[in-house]
Formats: sequence, structure tokens, C-alpha cells
Amino acid sequence: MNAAFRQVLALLACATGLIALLGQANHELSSFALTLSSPGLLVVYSALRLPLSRGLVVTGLTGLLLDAGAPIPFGSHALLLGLGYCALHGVRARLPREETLVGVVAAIFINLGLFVVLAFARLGELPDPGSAALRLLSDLLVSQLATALIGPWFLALQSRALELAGVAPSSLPAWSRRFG
Amino acid sequence: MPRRFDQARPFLALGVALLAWLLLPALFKRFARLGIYELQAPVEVSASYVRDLQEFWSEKTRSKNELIEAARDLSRLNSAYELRLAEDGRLRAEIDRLEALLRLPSYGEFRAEPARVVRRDFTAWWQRLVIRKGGNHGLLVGSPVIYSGGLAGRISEVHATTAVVELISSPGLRLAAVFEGDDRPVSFQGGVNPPLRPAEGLLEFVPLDIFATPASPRRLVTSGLGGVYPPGLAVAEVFQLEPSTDGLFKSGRARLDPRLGRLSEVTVLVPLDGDFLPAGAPKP
Repeated sequence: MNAAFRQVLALLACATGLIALLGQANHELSSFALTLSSPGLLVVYSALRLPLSRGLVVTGLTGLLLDAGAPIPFGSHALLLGLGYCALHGVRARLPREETLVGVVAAIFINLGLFVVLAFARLGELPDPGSAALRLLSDLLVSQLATALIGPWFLALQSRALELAGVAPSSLPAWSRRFG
Repeated sequence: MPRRFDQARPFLALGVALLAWLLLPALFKRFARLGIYELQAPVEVSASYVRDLQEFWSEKTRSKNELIEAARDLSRLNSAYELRLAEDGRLRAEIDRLEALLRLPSYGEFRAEPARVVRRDFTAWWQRLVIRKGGNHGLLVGSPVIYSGGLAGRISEVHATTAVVELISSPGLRLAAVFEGDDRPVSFQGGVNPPLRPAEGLLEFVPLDIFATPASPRRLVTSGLGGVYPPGLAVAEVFQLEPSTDGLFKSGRARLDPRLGRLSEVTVLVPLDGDFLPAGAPKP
């Protein structure tokens, strides 16, 4: 199995784990009418550490994992995560991208950006936008807190998963890091 | 490569990927969605089995005295239910007799299929449950789902071993309901889900002579119109009614049962009569 494929599989396994964990957390939080989501965390590692094509594949497939279980057009999450990915990938040269703190802060900003896009696009579909806005803001607040709390762990998990698969970005030759 | 182009490269790549995605046939996308869903389903189902096991071991810590008390309460409940069953049989016979006498169309028959909840997925945009039974137990899209507090929702997707229930608190679900003791239908729509409070629903087309306040709320039940939901199932408690802008009707708000947010088991009512199947569902 080549390095690119192993890298994609390892990151998808981590994403599946995070999606399942957030799903379980949301199951327990349902009686409080709060929802956790952290699309930013699913994007940052690929956007900051992987080459463009490989990172885009990981992000697209992660988006499809989210789409499969959601009652929205298939590919919507993939597109939104893709936008977040592109925005971060475009500025990563100016960031100290190996730093965990940068990854967490980037995830929080992507969460915020996607929240704003979704709120503008779909708030009108809800029957009572006033109370929906309150709910969305509460969800955003708890999601950002959760992202800040689990972000360092999840980034470390992804690094470790790639190391275990023998395809950590820093261990690959320079040409592989650049061209995927 | 110019720096400006270098920064636009990710967006260009995304654009190409999006174009390729749009050109893919819908059948492929549908197949991919089902495939990915079924691939993820065992993760969620396993988590729900682990939760059940956890519950089992926590129940094992209960003392014998507690179990004896629970058994005593259960036997009392059983005797009460036996009485209700006898009464139910008598009423059913009476309904059949009246239907035959007046040549009325009968309400559909349903098969009750209890199912454990795998996952509750309550966002501002949708409110859904994933349950641990699916096509393998003959569940059908559109079947009503009930719980101890009344109507929970309807089946929106059926997969191999799981099914998705759209709850009545979901913005996408509308139904015809009636006030208890009244036979005029009103429109109920879920979708008001404020944080840290029970979900609410919105009412429209309420006749002007019906009143409800927080001090004297009115119970809303299913009307049975349309044949999808059996009549008389509790939907919500109406606590606010105000004249609508057109002055012809009232609109208002109804509070849903807080237990809806903690459901761990529901019952799916699978229609047995072909005439009462939801549109598009295959006949059993």
C-alpha cells in the first residue's frame, strides 16, 4: 500500500472516530437541546500539514462521511469543509503550522466561518428564526469550547496515527511532501 | 509560479472537484451515500449495545429489596393493564359494530415494532433518532413512531439494520392535529428548539373559539386525517393562542413533552393494511 493511500486511510479513521465521539456526546446532550459540532477540527490537520491534492481528498471524503448520515443534499458538508480547507491552505505558508495552538485556533475560526455561512444560507428555513438564532449561538459557543478542549488531543491523535502508519508528513521525503 | 496564483490554487482544485462531482450521475451519488452510511452504521450500533451493557451492569448493583419492590409495583401495573386490555377489547368490538352499521371506512391496522434508540441527533436544523431496527424487521418509510408520551414522529429513512425517525420537534414535520374534545383539524409544525428548554411547535389555522393559556393549556392529539397517524395520539400541550394577522384563525405555540429529548426506546407502527401505507412504500 503506498504512502498516500495509508495517509488518507489513517486520517479518515481518525475522522470517523471523532464523528462517532461527537455523535455520542450529542446523544447525551440531547435533553439539554445543545449540539456539538467541530468541522474545523476535521479540516485543520490536512490543510496545515498535507499536500494540496491529498489534503483535499481527505477533506472531501470526511465531508461525505458527515453527509451520509445527515438529511441534507449529499456533498454539502464536503463542499463546506472544502471551502474551509482551501481558505486555510491558502494562508498556511504564513503560519507556524506545526504548532498545536495554531491548529486549534484555525479550527475555531473555520467553525465560526462555516457557522456564519450556514446561518445565512439556512436560517430562513426554520419556522421561528428568533429562537433558532439563540439555539445556533448556544451550539456555536459549546462547540467552540469543545474544540478548544479536544483540539490538542485530536491533532496529536492524527499525528500519532500517521506515525504508526509510517507516513507522518515530516518523515516523508521532500518531493513526496510537496507533490503528494 | 506567481504568488497570487499559488494562493488561488486550492480554490481552483476545489472548483475542479466540484465540477467533477456535479457531473457524476445521481445513481452513483445515491449508491455512495448508502454505502458510506452502512459502513458507519456498525460503529453507532456497537456504541448503543455498549450503552445497554453499561445500563445492565449498573442495574445489577441494585439490592434485592429494590428488586422486590419493583416486582410488586410491576404486578400492580400488570393487573391495571389487564383491566385496560379487557376494556380495550370491548371498545374495539363496539367500533367494529358501529363501522359495520354505519358503513364507515375503518382506521388502518398497525403492527407494533418496539426498537431501541441508537442515537439522538437533535440540531437546530433537524431532530432525528436512529433506531436499531430497519428493513430487516419490515419497517416502512412514513410509518408512525410512538412512545409512552404519545406521538414521537415518523420513519424517514429505512436502512438494512437501522432506521431514521424524524421527530415531531423537527422543522420538516407537519401534521394535522385536533384539540382534545374538538374535531376541527389544525396544522402543527415542529422546529422551535431553544437551548436548555423543551422543544416547542407552532400551530396554525386554529378556530377562533378555542382558547389556551399557560395557566390552562389544551392538549393536542393526532386527528387521524390522511391515514398516516392513528387518531388520538398525544402531540403537544398548547399554551399560547393569538389571532393571526388575517383575523380568520388563531396561531399559537405548543410545548412538547420533555421526554422526547431523552428517548431510549420507541415503537414503530407498521401499517398492515395496504390502503394506509405511506405514499411510495412497498406493500407488505
